[in-house]
Amino acid sequence: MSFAMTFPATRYASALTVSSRASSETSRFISQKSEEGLRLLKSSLTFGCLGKKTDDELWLQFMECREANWDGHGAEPVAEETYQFAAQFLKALPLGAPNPGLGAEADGHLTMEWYRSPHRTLSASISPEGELHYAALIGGSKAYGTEPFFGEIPEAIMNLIHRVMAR
Amino acid sequence: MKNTDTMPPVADDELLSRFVLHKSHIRHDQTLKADPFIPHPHADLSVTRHLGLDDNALWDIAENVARQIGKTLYGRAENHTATYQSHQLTVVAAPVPGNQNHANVTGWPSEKPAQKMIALQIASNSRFVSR
Repeated sequence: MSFAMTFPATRYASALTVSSRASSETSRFISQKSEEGLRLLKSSLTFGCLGKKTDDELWLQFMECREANWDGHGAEPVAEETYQFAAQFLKALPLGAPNPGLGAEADGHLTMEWYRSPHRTLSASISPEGELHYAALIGGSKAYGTEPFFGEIPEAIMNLIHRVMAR
Repeated sequence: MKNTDTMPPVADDELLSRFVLHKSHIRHDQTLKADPFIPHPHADLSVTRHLGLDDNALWDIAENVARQIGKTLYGRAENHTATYQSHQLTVVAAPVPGNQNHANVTGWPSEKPAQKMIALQIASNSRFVSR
């Protein structure tokens, strides 16, 4: 399935998930129902398999990198907090968004990579403080920066995912 | 074994290898992610010069490094010195016991996003050689 085909669906799914800051009883009810619906969709055969696989990969990555020097070059261990932030990030990805490849960096950050080719790649790493550091190569242009992660995918990163993966 | 004091400066056209000791750093198409090129915990990135070494000698050093720390050697990432230099980085000879060809890539920016940007570009120019 191509990203271009699913993008409208992802926008819809995003709209369902923005209610996490809801405060009134009605909006909390809507938020709860929306999240239940989204959970059901993600656990369905069509949408769920890839998501489960990515969750499993993230757990495996965390387990492999939670001891110091996991890379043989003196790496920092990946902290539990980093794993939790990464899990939340993956959960917050809109339905139909391409799943990232997962990895870790020597400073103990977990990485998510959207990859089409070596010159068309987005790498985002998440820190134990919940900061998203990203860098992207898109043909001849490049972009990099830092965005805070508050439970929703920052627009700058969503746009880069779209640009990197667009056919 | 070469004398530490006589190791020549690193030339622009020298080949350098970064040993890859973690499977997740390699993509399915046998290209490399940016992850193994992030300089941490030191401000420098460790590499090994190919200078005067044949393939077997290079793998011997890599296997020795992996064995000492109990890791699996998956391969090496090859780049020319000029690739690092094109990002305003400097490669300096830094021989260590057991690896007289050891060198450090220095001059990295301190900000993480800038490091990632450089690492991504170096990775895109790397050649992965599987063990």
